[in-house]
Amino acid sequence: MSSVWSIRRSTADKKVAGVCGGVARHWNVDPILVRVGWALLALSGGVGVVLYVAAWLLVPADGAATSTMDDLTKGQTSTWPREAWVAIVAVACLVTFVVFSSATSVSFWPAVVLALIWYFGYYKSRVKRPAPPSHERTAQPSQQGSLDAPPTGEPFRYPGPPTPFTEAAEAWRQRVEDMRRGATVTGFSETTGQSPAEPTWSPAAAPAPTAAGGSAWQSYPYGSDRAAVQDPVSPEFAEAAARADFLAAADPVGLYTEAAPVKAAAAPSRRTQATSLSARRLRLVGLVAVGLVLLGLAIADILGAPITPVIYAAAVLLVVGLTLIAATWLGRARGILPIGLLLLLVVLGMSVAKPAGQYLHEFNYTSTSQFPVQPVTVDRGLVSVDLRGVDLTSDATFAADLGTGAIEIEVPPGTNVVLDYSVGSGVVMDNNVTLASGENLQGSSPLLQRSRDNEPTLTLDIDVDQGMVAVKR
Amino acid sequence: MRRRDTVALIFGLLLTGCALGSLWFSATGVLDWDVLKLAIPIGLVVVGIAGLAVSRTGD
Repeated sequence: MSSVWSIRRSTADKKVAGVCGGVARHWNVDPILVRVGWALLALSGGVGVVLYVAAWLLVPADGAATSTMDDLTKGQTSTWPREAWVAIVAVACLVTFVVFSSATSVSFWPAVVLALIWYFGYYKSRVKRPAPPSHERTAQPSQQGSLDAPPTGEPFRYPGPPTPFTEAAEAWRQRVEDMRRGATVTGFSETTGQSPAEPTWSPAAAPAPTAAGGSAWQSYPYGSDRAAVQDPVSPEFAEAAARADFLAAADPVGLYTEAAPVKAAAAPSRRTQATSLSARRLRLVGLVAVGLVLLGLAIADILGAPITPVIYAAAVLLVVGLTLIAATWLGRARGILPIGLLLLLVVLGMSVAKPAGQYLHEFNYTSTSQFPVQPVTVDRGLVSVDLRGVDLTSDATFAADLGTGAIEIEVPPGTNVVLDYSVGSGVVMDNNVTLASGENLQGSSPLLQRSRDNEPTLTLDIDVDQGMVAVKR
Repeated sequence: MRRRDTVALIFGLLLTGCALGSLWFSATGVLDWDVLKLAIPIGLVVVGIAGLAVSRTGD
C-alpha cells in the first residue's frame, strides 16, 4: 500500500477540487463511496468540510509540484513539517466539531460509521491479502541465508498435515541426508581415497546446477570431505563437488512434476474466497444501512421527533439482526455477531437503566379549568401533582389513574378536600400518616382539611393499581 | 449447495426481535406482560424451528 502522502487531487474526476476523486483513485475504490463518506463526515460536526478544505489547500493536484497553500504563500510554508500540518488540521477539526456538533444534532455517529466502513470494508481486507508465493519468500535475504548455510542440527519438519508437496520435500530431505551420511561413512577419506559405487549416479553425467542455491551446495563438501577443501584439485574434492552438483539440481528425480494434487488443493480456497467475498459485501451493505438509518433518525430528531438514544441503539441492533439473517445465505463475515451481541447488551442496559427523570411525571395546575376532563393516566413512575396554586371557587374534582408507582398530591391550603381512593395493592397516606394499607383498598377519606363550612370542596379521585397515594398539605 | 449459517439465522432473529421489542418499548413506553409471556416462548420456538429447518436443508 502506497503512502497516504502520495495522494494527488484528481483533475479528471472532480466535482469541486478533485479531493474525493484523488482519494478514490489512491484507494482504488468507487469515487461515489468516498463522496458519501465525505458527506457523512461533513454531518459529523462539519469535520468533513474541514478535511476537504485542508486537502484542497495541502494536496497538490495531478501534475502539479506544489500545493495550493504553497502557491498562496509563495512557498513560505513548503518547508513546514507534515506533523505541523497534521496538528493544525486536527485542531481545526476538533474546534469545528465542538462548535457545530450541537447545531447539527447528528453528533459523531456518522464518523463512527464511516470509520467502521473504512476499517472492515477496506483496511482489514487489504491487510489480510494472501502472502506472496513461497518462491518469492525464499528469495528474501533472511531465507536465502538459511539456504546457503550448511545443513546442521535438527532438520525442519513441516508441522501441518502431510501434503504431496511436503511428502516430496521430506523424500528429498531424506535423500540429501542419505547422501551426506554416505559421504561421511563410506566417502572419500584421506586414507583410502575411494568413492562408493553408485550405479544410478555418475559424477560425469551429473546435471549442471540450476537452483538458486546451487553455488552454495556446489562448494560444500560433506562429512569428512571437509578436509579436501584445502586441496581444490584433489580427486576427492572433485567427487564431492560433482555430488553437490547433483544435489543442487532443481528437480533431478522429478519430485515436483506432479501438478494435479496442487490443483485439487487449490479448489476449496477459491470457494472459501467467494463465500467470504459475499460476506464482506453483505457486511458493507449492513454498515451502509446502519449509516442511513442513523441519518434518518437524526433528521427525524432535528425535525422534532422524540428520538432517544436507546432508539438509535435499537435501530442499529435491528439492522445488525437483519444483516445476520441475510448472512444465513450470503455468509457471515467476521465481526458481525460480536457487534450484535455487544449492541444487545447496550440496548438492554439503556432500556433498563433509564434516567430517573423519565419515570417522574409532574403536573402543575393553578385553576380548576386546567384540570383534564379525562383522568391523568400514567403507566408507571412517580407522579407529582401540585395543586397549591388552585383558587377554588366551586366544587371540583381532580382524577388520576396510575398503574404502578406513587402519586403525591399537594393540595391548596385552607381548602376542603375529599380523597376518594381505589388502590389494588399499596398504601394511602395523609401528611405522612397512613390512612389505609393492604390490598383492594377503596374508600372515601374524611375531609382532610375543613377550613370553613359552605366552602367549595376539592375532590381527589385517585386510582392506583400498585403503589402509594400520598396527600400533602 | 452452499451450507447455510444456522448460527447467523438464530442470532439474527433473536437480535431482530430484541431490537423490535426495544423500539416498541421506547416508542410506547408499554410492555404488556400478558403479551410477552406468550410472545417470548412462541418466538423462541419459531426461531428454533427455523434453525432446524435451515440446518436440514443446508446439509
